[in-house]
Amino acid sequence: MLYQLSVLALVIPLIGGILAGFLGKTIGKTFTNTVTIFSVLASFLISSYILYTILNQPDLILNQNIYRWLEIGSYSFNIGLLIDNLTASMMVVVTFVSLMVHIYSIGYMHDDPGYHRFFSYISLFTFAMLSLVMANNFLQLFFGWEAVGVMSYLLIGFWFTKESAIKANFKAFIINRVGDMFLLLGIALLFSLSGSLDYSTVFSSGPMISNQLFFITEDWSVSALTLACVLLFGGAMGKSAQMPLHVWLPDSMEGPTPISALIHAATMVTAGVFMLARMSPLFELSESALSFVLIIGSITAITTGLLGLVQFDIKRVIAYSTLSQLGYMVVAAGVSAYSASLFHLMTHAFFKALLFLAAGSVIVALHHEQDIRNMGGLRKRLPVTYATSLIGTLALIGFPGFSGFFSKDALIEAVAHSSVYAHEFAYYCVLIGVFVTSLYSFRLLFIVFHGSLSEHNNNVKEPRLSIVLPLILLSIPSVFIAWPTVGPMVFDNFFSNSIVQPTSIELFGYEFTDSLHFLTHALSGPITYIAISGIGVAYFFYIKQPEIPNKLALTFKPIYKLLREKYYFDYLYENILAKFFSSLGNSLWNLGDIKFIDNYIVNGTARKIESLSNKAQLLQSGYIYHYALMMMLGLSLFLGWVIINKIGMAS
Amino acid sequence: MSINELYFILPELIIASCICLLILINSLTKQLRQYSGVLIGSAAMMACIIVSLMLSSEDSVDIFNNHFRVDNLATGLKLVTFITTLIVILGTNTDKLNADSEIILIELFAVLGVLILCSANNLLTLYLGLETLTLSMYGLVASKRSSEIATESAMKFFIQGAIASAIFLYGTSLIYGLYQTLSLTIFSNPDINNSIELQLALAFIICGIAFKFGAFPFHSWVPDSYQGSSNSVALFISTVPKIGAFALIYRLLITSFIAVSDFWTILILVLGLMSLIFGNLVAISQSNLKRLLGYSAIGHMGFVLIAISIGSLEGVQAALFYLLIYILMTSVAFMCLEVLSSKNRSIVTLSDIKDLNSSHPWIALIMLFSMFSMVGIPPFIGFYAKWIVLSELLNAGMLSVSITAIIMSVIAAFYYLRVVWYMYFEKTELPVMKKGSTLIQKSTLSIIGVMILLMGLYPSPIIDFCKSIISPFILID
Amino acid sequence: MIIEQIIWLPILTALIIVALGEKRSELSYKISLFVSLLVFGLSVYVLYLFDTTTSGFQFVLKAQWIERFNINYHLGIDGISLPLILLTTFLTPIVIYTAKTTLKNKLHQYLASFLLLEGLMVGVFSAMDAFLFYVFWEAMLIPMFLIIGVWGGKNRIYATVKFFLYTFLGSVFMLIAIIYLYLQSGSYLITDFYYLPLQINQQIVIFLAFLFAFAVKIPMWPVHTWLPDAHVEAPTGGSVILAAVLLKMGGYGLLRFSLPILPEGSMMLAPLMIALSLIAIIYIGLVAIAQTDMKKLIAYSSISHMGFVTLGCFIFFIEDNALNPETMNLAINGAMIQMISHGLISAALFLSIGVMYDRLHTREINDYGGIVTTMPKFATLMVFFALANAALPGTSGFVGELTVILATFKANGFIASLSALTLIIGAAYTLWMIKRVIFGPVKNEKINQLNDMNKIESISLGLLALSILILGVWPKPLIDLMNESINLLTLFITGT
Repeated sequence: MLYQLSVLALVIPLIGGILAGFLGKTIGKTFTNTVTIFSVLASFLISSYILYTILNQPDLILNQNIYRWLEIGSYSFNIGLLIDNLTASMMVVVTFVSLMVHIYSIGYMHDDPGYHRFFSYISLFTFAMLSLVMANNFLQLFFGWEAVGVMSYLLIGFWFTKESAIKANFKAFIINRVGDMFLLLGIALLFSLSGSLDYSTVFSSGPMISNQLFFITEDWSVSALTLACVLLFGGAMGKSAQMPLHVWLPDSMEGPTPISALIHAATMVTAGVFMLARMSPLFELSESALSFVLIIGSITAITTGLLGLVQFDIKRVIAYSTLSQLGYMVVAAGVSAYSASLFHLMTHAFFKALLFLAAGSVIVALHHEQDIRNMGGLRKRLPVTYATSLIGTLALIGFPGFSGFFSKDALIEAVAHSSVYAHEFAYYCVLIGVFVTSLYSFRLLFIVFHGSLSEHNNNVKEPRLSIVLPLILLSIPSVFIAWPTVGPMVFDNFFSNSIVQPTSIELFGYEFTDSLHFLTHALSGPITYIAISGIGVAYFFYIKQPEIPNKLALTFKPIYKLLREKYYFDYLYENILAKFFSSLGNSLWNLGDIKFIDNYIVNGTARKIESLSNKAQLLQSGYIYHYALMMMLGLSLFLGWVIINKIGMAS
Repeated sequence: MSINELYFILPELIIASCICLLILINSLTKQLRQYSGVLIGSAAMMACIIVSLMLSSEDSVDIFNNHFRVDNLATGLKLVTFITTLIVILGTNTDKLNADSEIILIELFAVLGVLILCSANNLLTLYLGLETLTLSMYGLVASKRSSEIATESAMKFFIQGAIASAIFLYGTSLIYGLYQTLSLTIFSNPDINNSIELQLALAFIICGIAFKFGAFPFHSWVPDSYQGSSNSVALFISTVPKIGAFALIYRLLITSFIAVSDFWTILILVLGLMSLIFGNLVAISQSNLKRLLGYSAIGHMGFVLIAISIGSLEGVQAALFYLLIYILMTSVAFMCLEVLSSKNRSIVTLSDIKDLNSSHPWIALIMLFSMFSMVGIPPFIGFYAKWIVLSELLNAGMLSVSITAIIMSVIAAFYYLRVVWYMYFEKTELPVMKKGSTLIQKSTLSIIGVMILLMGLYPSPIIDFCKSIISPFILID
Repeated sequence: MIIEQIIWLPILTALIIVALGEKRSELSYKISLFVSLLVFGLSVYVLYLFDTTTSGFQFVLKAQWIERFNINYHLGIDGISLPLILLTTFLTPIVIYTAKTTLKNKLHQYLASFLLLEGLMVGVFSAMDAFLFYVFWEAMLIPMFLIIGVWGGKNRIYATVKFFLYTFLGSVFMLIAIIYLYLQSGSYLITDFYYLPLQINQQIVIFLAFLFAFAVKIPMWPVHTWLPDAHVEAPTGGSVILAAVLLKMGGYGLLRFSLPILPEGSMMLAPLMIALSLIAIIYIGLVAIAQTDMKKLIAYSSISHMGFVTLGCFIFFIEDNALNPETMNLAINGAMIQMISHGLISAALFLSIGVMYDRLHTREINDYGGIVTTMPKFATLMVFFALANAALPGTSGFVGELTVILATFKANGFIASLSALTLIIGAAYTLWMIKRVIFGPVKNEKINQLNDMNKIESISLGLLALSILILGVWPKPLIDLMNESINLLTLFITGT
């Protein structure tokens, strides 16, 4: 029963997407959005039911193959489902956000010629994401991994006539491919060690693997498991946009805003975090891999957050905040507080989707204006949007009581209590991160909604219902979702059947009683005050003394430039690496293939033969005495040979 | 000499009488002239084919007190000669020019010479046949009286031929001086001493043979005379005389001086390699089709000589096989030119056959067969020729020679391909006109053209034929 | 005898069509289409009759051919040849079907050449007698030579002569090797060669002789330079068959001759082969990035993808000095899948380029841009094929590369990481082309007037897309087809 339901939940969005894609244009918009929305809705309901059933039977795990994909000798690769608490909750999150985005898009994409294309894409994306989270083996994981990548490729480049868009989606795909390569290598390594791609087999052989060595050279070897974990995390770095593979995410904002909400905030980018949690049985066995994860995560959390301070594109600000929040999740995984990281993933999915959709509604209201310098004072004109985005922002900065508070607080607690290598570093990073987060979030909020309303924005009004409704629907979980869930998900053993991690005591250093108590306890920590001080600074900078930021920018010009240039990563990749490789290819082609092999060897031989033939032809002079001479020479050659031969024998 | 000995020389008699008949008719009547040659010639050939088929069942005899031998090889080669000549005659244009110059009459003389060569069992007989053949070839080359290039090349041919015969004759006289006999059977005894005199004599003789084969450096007459003579003549001299040459080398070296084979095989090998390399190399830079085919002929003869130089029974069989295949392919090639040429336009250069695929698709296809066959691409019969020679070479452990051979055939591929590309890839302003080449010609061409393919699909018969007529060498012990 | 029909039916039809002449080319188009479909049906019937549980040759037919040299007309197929035969018979109807949209002059000869080619290719894959194999192998040169030369682009003559001489030079060395093996074993039967006790130095020499022939066909660096020229100049159909089937001959040869006959020799030279494969994958991949001509780009990508075939054929030899049948199985199966899938994908890509070429008569990437705005249907398929070419999971392109990379990693992690670079490089050159050709603002007026695919084009491309998808989603049946024969092959390689 559960199995059939799961298959349904997986397949329905696929069907919806295919229908919308093939028939959408001919039949019409209403058909398109009904079929897709209902398919996702069905999938959402089924997922919720599955979650419900699983909650009632704590030890219920469905691990079943759908069909055998490939069978070579004793190796067999399957397509299958693994339904446990982790999967179930991810399914719910994914389908819910996706549903919201579907509804939202009715309004947002209303006048777009590619309406049906858009809907089929997002439904297909939902399918891909579900197959990723529901996988019970690495093969299917990789399939989903790449499939979501492709959908994001297509959706970033949705407006394919925009040069910037197709540049961004190409960039996104290639950089993701870099991560995917590491993932594939990690999978291959695990396969070569355990001889299977099924989670269960690999995880069970984890301990056996952990004391094997992988020889990079004859005398230089590393722990095979650590290498595998690092390689897997390399994949996560691509998808979850960790430093230094983060550069694609800000550019991905070229895509329609619902996409930014769905793919580049709530679901796809969290795939990496999900994967870390899924792989916890392996990561837990390798201390060094964990600290690698921790370091990368904390660097991402702080550095990308800083970038958010200097952006003027409303979506890019939120994008950088996404990057830094992803950093937080990875940090949590690094201190093996997977539950906390997943919890943050969930809350973040809700409030970040909310923020993006709110930004989208602003953009729509302002007729696709994205530069925040042309905004201001919109709170009177867009009350609902303002309210919802305020909620989202408070949740984001972890204001006490909002969902973000619980997740972020638990997360930072875990870092504080961890003992992994470089945990102090991580701790300070995340603390500063909190301040930076509230700074850029409220900078955005103040610049966009407060201040004076400019002339040409005078007659803006709230967009249609289908846009506003999802905001309201999303703001509910953004506020409340954490209250009931934080206890079981983070502190209790909700994930115990899917994740290997230390007990909450070891992680957080104290017992969880109830959410209220947790709230009060957290208020004793520094985080809240840091966040509030951030708000204060933002208020001072952007409401009281709006000229100060420019002053700062002038005084610390090099730093400001560094931030504006995003630490020169793009420069490095586009102007140095990409240029290098294309010119390398060019020279290999021109020198290697054309000059050397073709001209020198191939045609060279031909030329040589031709010239030989011309030389030989001179023998055919047409003069009879030449001919006669040749015959005589031939004859005397023979005779001479005979005689010399004889003399040789005689002597 | 008894009457029943005449039975064994029946083919020669038929040819001879036909020659007389032809002379008689042509001198008496003018109007019959145009067709008399073809009619009588082909009739004679058919008759001879039947007779030689009859003879092939007989076991070998030496007649005219051992001057003349009729054995498997003789009858076999004669049969081939007749068939080839028949093809040639049927393929020849029956226009006024050819008729006036009485090509077919002279060709019959040449055939007679070849026949004598095939059966010669005595140096004198051998020389008789050789000269009959050569002299009539001079005549053939010169037959295009009007054109000066023809006469010029005939002149050159004559002079070189004279030198070659002189060399050959000197060699034979040395032999006579050594053994006081001209009978070939005598020489083929194993305890014949490998003296320097003998070697010198053989060296002279081999030069003469090399000239007949047109092997480098005795090749110069080949391209010139091919180019100089008319297509019809080229068709003949590129095919039939080669049989005579083979008979010559077989009678003189392979059977007679088999005892000293390890000496002369070296010379033959050298000749073979040189002509293989030279012929194919020079052919690349030819634009005149007949010249090109001339040089390719040199290359092919190189292959034949290499095969002979293996010195084994299989080697000689391979050589004969290659020779027969070569004759087939080259006669197809020349006949294509012959069929395409007309009084006002003779097809000789590559640019003449541009875009032949559009004007004469069928003939173009046959030409393509012949060309790819010469390259040695299966399933055409030419591939089997090369393959058999190669496998015999490898069997004899001559790896380096075989590698040289295949490299050269790859190089040779280029100019054969060029013919194909002119016919198929190029475009032209003056395509070859439809002209009245007789139905007989066309059908003959088609038949032998298709033969290239069919034999390729089932080559066993010819392989067996070659096996059957090359009898194990006579070695008196 | 059904295999025989599959070989000779197209060839005879080709002769008939040539005889029909240019005036009746419409009729000959119908005939050839019908016959090629019939042949495909026959081969599907063979698939139906094929027994996947036995490893040996099936549908064996043996007749005396050249007694003197003990050569037989000896046909038979096993799990390695059947998939390639199916590929051939599946693509030929498509090529013939699309011929009419692209071609004007001498259609009948064009069709005849392809039918001829089909018969000969099937012959190569089903010949059990080495001599017969060589006859088919070489005979293929003739129709291909004509196809490129007669219907090719402006530099066609250089290209086709280069193609011919390159391949001819390669294969004559194989001929010598075959003759040598015959002299050793006294028979031309390929399976007799497997049991020859050959010294290691003999093995190496023979291996190199074979390698020369196969390396040119595959093609492997550095004897690959004929391929880009041939592809660029060849007509669409020519490129399709060239990339899809002719290149596979080389891989087939490796599996049929080099590995089982010369296991020790292969082992000795495995490092060389692996190095060449890596060069193909990386060097050629980078070269592909630099291309400005779409066909050249796909040609280079073909070379790069064939690198995985050769890698799969040899990687297992270096697995810590002990031959592991499991890895061997994985690698060789991977190589086979890679061949089949590359056959489909490259065919699809060349057809797509043909579709664009017929409309704009240019292959330069810079002349294109924004195709998607005027040809949405086509663009969708093109992007799909491109992603398949970049080995996207769910398309057949992924299966081969995954299995080969897995096997490679078992043997050597470092080499595996190098070969895995193809994930980046492959995506880079393919999608960069897509970015410049399909997406972006409409480049010029001509593109504005384009009309989308017609019936013929959409049917043939759709079929290819479908097959690529199916193979990607469920490759198991294909493997089951080959498994037994490959098991046998591994036995020969391990020498047990």
